[in-house]
Parts: sequence; structure tokens; C-alpha cells
Amino acid sequence: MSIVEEVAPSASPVPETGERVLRVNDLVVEFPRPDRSGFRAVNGVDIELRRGETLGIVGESGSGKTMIALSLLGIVPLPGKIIEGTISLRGRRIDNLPPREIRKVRGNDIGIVFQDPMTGLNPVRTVGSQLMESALRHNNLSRREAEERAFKALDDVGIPAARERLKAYPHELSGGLRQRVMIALALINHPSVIVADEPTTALDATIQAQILDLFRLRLARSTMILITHDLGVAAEICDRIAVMYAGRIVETGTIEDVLSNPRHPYTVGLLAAVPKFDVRRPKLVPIPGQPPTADDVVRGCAFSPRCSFATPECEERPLLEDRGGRPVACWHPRGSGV
Amino acid sequence: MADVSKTPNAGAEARTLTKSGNLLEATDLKVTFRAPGGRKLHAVDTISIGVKPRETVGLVGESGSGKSTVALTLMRAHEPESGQIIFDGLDITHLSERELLPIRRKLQVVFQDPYSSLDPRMTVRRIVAEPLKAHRYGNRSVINDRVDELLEQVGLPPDAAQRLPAQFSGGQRQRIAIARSLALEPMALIADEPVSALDVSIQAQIVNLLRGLQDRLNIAFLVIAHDLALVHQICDRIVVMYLGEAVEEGSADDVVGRPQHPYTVALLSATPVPVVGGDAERILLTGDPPSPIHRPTGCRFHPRCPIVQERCKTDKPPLVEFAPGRKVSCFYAGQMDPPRDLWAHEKEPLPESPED
Amino acid sequence: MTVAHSTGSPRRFKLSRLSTGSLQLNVGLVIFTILLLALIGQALFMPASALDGDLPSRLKGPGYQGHVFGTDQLGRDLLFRVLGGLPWSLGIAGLATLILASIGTVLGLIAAWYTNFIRTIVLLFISTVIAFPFLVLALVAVAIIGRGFWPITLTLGLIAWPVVARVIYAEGRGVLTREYVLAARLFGVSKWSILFVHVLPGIRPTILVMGAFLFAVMLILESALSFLGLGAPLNAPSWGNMLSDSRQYLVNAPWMMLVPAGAIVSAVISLNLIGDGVAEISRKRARAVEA
Repeated sequence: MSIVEEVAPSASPVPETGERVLRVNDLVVEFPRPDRSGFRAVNGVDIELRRGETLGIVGESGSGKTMIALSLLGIVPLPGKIIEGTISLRGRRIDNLPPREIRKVRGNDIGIVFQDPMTGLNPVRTVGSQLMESALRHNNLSRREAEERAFKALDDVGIPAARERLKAYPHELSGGLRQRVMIALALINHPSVIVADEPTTALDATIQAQILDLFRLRLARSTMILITHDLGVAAEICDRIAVMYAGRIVETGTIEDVLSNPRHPYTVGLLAAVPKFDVRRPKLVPIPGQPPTADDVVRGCAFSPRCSFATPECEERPLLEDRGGRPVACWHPRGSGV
Repeated sequence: MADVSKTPNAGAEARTLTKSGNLLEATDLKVTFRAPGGRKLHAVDTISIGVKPRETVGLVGESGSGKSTVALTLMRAHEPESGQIIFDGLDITHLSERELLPIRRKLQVVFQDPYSSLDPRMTVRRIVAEPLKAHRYGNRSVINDRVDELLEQVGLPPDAAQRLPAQFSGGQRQRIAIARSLALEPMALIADEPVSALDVSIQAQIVNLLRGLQDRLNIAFLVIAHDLALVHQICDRIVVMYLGEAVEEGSADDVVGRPQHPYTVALLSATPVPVVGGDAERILLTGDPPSPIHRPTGCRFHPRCPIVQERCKTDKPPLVEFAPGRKVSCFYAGQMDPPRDLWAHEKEPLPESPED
Repeated sequence: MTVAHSTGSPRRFKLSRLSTGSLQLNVGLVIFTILLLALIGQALFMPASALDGDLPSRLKGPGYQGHVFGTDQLGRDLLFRVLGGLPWSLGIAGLATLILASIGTVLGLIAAWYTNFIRTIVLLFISTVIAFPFLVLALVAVAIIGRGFWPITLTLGLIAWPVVARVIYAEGRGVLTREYVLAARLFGVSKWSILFVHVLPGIRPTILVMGAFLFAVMLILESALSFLGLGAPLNAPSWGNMLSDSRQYLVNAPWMMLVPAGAIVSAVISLNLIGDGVAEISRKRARAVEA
């Protein structure tokens, strides 16, 4: 089952008409464990992304959200492996491509923004040469055209004095500018999809606000998957979000629906644990316990050991199904259905 | 010294306070480092800060604001260039490491990263016992009993003592670090970003744990953090720092609800909250914080200030106390509207927590 | 003892790792133990006369009249000579390694610990010694004290420590800048306690690995010095001397070269295996511990 098809058309402001760009079907990423069955970092995830929408994949560390991003890029770290499922980009399967082919897809069809721009930028080469290289590798351009495109890319992401910055090395730029360069690099070949993995997490609040503004204003119509742990960040730039827990999507919907009417107890718990600007200072309600680790054996609903609504029924795993208007993987959804 | 009053404290040792009632007080603290090339890096420039017993003070700023340097200087890990640090009625600014030993028992610290602040080769028992041994708390069995008691207090299973830090998650490691910091029943605890390395659902666990321990043990907290929402949640008073200086100070509700300095307003506005449309009118600061080596003239904030005037470029606004306990350093304080209404829900009853 | 099963306590856990962990380490330890036993055995049981020559049976091949490895140009038994060379080779190299590891560790830690002028002075000293040509020092030592056991040991030990000091300095600084060391300091833990509880355990694997490799290097250097005539006294059964003797008989009596060369190679290989094995295990353990 895919996310979008199960949303009642009337409940969703997302343009249903948009062309389907990316489809992930029943993705399973497994890491072998000594003398046991493998650990599934991603365990049967379906994603569908339409042109012009931003999907947020929200989860805490270990939820498998980053592994989804790495799967899309074909760079699942060894010894992990995609053992089931398919990933199609504009109708073409990309999960089983040979390394040469997937490299062409990366940087051309899929743009990448990492959390730490220093991992995506080469420290000993100028910003301009890296942008130009990417432009030249995937297009038939002259050097002059490539340089023009590099300048345009930097200018587009709001870098002041972009012409001079072409000659700068990454370390000569501040963290915020570096992240802008990283975004320019992701966008330079006009990819069909942008994958942004925690693009603002390493930045200071005022700089994060600048980058979020860039996403909101200049990248509003781009097709993007945003991986984040921060519901506040997701609220600013996502059209839809999928909440992940222990390798599975537990709830999806438009950002408005999920934030104002969370259905899965985990989503409810996450929202209750975030401090809010409120003079009454409602007590933070933590989610008790710890998420399962790679060593734990998960039976039934993975969240049930931490869930205050768990019943014996939860020993059987609830599927991500439409329960009162939106897909929720819970036998006892909270809030109100439609 | 400034010894004035002794607070009678049930069970706990008596605390000696300064004239202003502070347990921990820094006056005109200034810390400089030598940057490569022999230039001076002004990490902290004349900050005064005070923490009363049982009070939680938040020190807020972005990276490079000098907030962590203040914490480490109060712990005497850095030498201040000038200024004075008073703790429990004693001037500790220039005490030698030997003279500091009794102070270190009463003034403890929790670090941000529970991965690097615990020795990976030591068992949890040895980690938590380390300060106890350093201060000759008792013989082996007394120390062992105390460790077991502490692990229980911070909510760790009894068999945790035998294991290594690697066998725990981030949140549990922070519990281990907290158990170690509380081992000697300190009067004051300096926590440098105690939860920012943790997941949201775990953050709340640690925040509540710290609050509970504070109530039980009468600890004064100085919390260093960048997250204003979190700081507002847990602090009584807030000091906002920018480029090594305090720009605004006051009660938590007042600083967050009626911010006076444009930087505080921008910082509040920049904090993302999980509400759709909650960011409608964001005040965006241009550029990056300047380096503490080449500081701007006049008001340190003027190159990024949305309401900058000619005067700000040359004159440095002093930190003025405009109401009791309320300070700001801006010529045009209060001219920007607060980004959100802190009192919006004041009349409504608190929402029921999902557990009830 | 049920070492393999008692995974509950980390101490036992480490021991069981050590005994089964690395094939290289096991092989290296076995060869090295044999060499050590031979060293002790020859000291206890080998009569001094075993090294005497017997001119009529000079330059005989292996197996001749009970000479398992053959004889040299003076008719001396090569097996006994190579055994008699053990104290000269393993002994000198071992003691030299001990000396250089101690000096290197102490000075490296001093440089890592102090941030003031003491560090500058120690680092300057290290650089000076590194710049000093090794052979010149060996020549000077021989010229002053003469050939013999202690001159070579001291020459080797005193010249090679800067390598250790450099590495320990870097490693020690790495450990000292960790947050848990700062935490310990702020909790009032004493300097000595920090040194013994946090720093030394942190650099122990490095010391062990470097020690094993430098042991092997010292073995080769001792042979080289003896070979050049700057090491053991002329008639001493040092492996380097034996190699030096064999040069003129390379064609007629190649076993004279093969026997000491084989001894050197097996000792060096065993030490390198030990070094590699320790490195492998500490890498594995670091991954498990610092996950």
C-alpha cells in the first residue's frame, strides 16, 4: 500500500494530480547479526512522492529514516543490504542498478543535502570547481557555460557576492554559507528529487532560520524528501510527513493533520515531549523507556512496550492502514477519525 | 568576603550566600584566549551572573557566544583574565587546584555529550564511583552502596553497574553521567547542553529527572543551552549571550514573553515549533555571527540587527537594569514585537497529559 | 576456570577474547615462547664447551656427525652457536626495547600533559635526538666503551626512543583532550589518578603494538651493528657476527648464512605477528567499547 492512494482525496490539500516521481515499495534494509536473523533497519516501507511536494520523514535516532535516504541514493553502508522491495524514479527502477549507473542518477536525477556540508564538499577544492565538475559531468556544457551555471546556482541559494565565492574553499565559508553551497550543489543539475538529510540540524538557530527560509521560499515547489528528527522543522517545509518508529512508518498524513490531530500514540508522545512557548509551562511528558535497539527482538507493535494504551491485541502487529481517514499503524489510534 | 546569611536547610549542609543572595556568583568575568597569529580571542567579555540556591538559571546563546566558556570558567577549567567568582561565600577565582578540592565536591558539572564524557573502558560502577573515590567518601562497600543508590535514583537497573557505557543508549548514558555528578550531593550543578544530544522523547525524561532531583536535593542549576523553548521550560531566570556579552537578562517568562533586545526577539522567532503556520512572521537575521577575534565596533550585534541606527555602529550600549532583575543592552530596547504570545493560553486549563 | 562462559564481567570477557581472538597473535606467541624457552634452556643446560671449535670438522653441512645445522669455518656447531646467540640477540633487543619504551612513554606523556614551556623543551629534545645519526652514535659508543652487551643495549635503547615519544605524545594528547578527562579533573580527581585510570589504559594498546614492532627492529639493528663490527665482540655467538662470518663462505657453506638468517627471520616474524595481533584485537575491542 502506498501513502498517497489511501488518503481520502477530500482530506488532502496536496495536488493529487501531480505526476508520480518517486515510488518506494515495501523497502527492507537488513544488517546481518552474528548467529541470528538479520536486523531490519528499514522494515517494509512504502513511499510515494509526487511532483512539487515535500515529504518529511520524521523519526528519532535508530528509526531507520537515514537508511531510507541512503537507500534512495544507493549508498547503504556495508554490511547492510536492500533485501526486499523496489525503488522507482520516474518509472525506472534504481535499486538494482550497477554502481556506474546509480552514480549517474546521484547528482543528476537525485540531489543530496547532508547534515554536515563538510562531508559533501571536498575540502581541498574550490566551491566553483566542485559545482562546475558536477555540471560538466552530467551535461554537455562548455567550461564557460558550466561556470555560468555554477554562479547561477550559488546566486539562487542566496549567497551574497556569488561570483567571488566561486573561488573560495569550503573552510573559508561559514557554516550557513557552506550549507547553502551544499544545496546549490544538489540543485545544479535540476534533479527530479532532492533528498535532504537533517539539512539544518548542525546549524545555529538564527542560521537554521535562514536555511529554512531558503527551503520555504525558493524550494517550495521542488520535489523533496526531508529527513529530520525535528517536528518543528518538518512543520515549516513539509506538505506531508511520515512518522517512523523502529524501521516502519507508523503514521502519515498532511502536516496539518498529523500535528493538529496525531493518531499514533508515538506521534502523540513526541508532540507532548517537545517544550512549547507557554507561560503555563505544561509539564513535559516523556515517552517512558527506550526505543528498541539492533539487538532487541521486536514482536507485534514495536512501540507497545512504551505505550500506555497497549493491550494484548498489540502483540499482533497493526498494519499501516486507513483508520478513520488517515493511514495509522495502531489498533487503538488516538484523536478523532473523520 | 561577602558572607552574609546562612540558609537553614533541612538535611543539607548550610550554604553561604553573597549579599545578593547568590550561591554562585561571577562578577565582571572576562576570558580571553590567544588565537593563532597572536591575536586575542574575546570569548567572554565582562559577564556577571548569579545563581541562588534551588534556582535554575539558563545561559542562552548560539555557538561562539561564549556560554560554554562561562561554564568552564566558573568550574575553573579556564583562567579568567579578570573578574571574580564566588561560590558558597568563598572567592574561588584564584584558588589552587589543591585549595579547590573541597569546592569541586560541592560544585559539579554535566556535559552535553554522554558519549565522550564517560571513559569507554570503565564499568558504570567505576565511572560513578570516581568522584566518590577522589573525595575519600568511604571504604569500598560504602562506595558500592552509594553507587547502587545513585543508579536507582536516576532510574537505571541495578545490573547496570557491571556494564560498559557502550551497552547503553544516549539517554541512559546521560543518566549515568548525572548519577556521577550527583554522587557527592553537590550544592550547585552546571549543565552544559545536558539534553541537546538526545532524542526528543528522551530529552523530556532527562529534564524531568533533573527537575525531580533538584526538588529533592536543593540543587542550584546553571543550564547552558541554545534551545530557548527548553530553557524557558526549565529555568527561573534567563541570561541571553551574544558574542561573549550578556545582552538581556530577566525572569524566564519575561525574557521569552516580553523580549527587549532585538537579538532575543530574533532568536525566539528562529526557534521552530511543531505548529503549522507558527512561523508566519519570522524575523530573519542576515549574515553570520561575527568572529570573537574581529568584533564589530559599537554594539556587537549591529551588523545583523534589523533595527540598527547610526548610533549603534559607534557607541556601545551598556547593560542597563530597567526593572528589578531585568537588564538589557540596547539603545532601542523593546522596539520589536515579541514573535509569539506566551500568555495565549493562560486562561485555559493545562491540557491533560496522554498518560492520565 | 570457565573463562569462555563468564561474559558477565568485562575483565573475564577481555581474557577470553585474548585467548581466542587472533590467529596471528596465537602463532606469534607460540614461536616467541619457543624462542624464550630456548633462551632459558641454553642458559641452564648448554655447557660453555658446546661453543668450542673443532677444526677437522670445519665447514661441514647439516647432519654431519650429529651437527644438526652443520659447522662453521672453525668447526663450531651452528645449532649451539645460534642458541648461544639468543641472549645477544633477543636479550639485547628486549632490554633495548624496554629502555626505549620507558623513556619514550615518560617523555611523550610529559609533553602531552604540560601545555607550557615544558612541552616545548621536551618536543625540541625529541626532535634533536631524531636528527642525530644513529650510526655515528653507535661508533662513538663503541669507541668510548668498547664492544659488548651493554654498549649495544644502551646505544639501541637511547637512540630509538624518540619514535615512541612522538607517538605517545600524540596519543596521550588525544586521550587528555577527551571530555571524560576534563570531567574527572572537574570532579576533583587527582592528576596521578587521571594518569593511571584514564590515560595509561588509553595508550596501553599503542605501547604494546609499538613495543612488539620495535623489538623486531632492535633485533635487526643489533644484527646489523654486529655485522658491521660495531656490536658484539668478535667471537661472541651473536647472530649478526654469524652472518658476518658467513660472507666468505656463501658459496661453499651456504648453511652458515641460512642458519642465523633463519633465526633472525623467525624471531622478527613472531614479533610482527604479535604486534599485528595485538593491534587487531585492540581495534576490535575499541569498536565494541566505543560504539
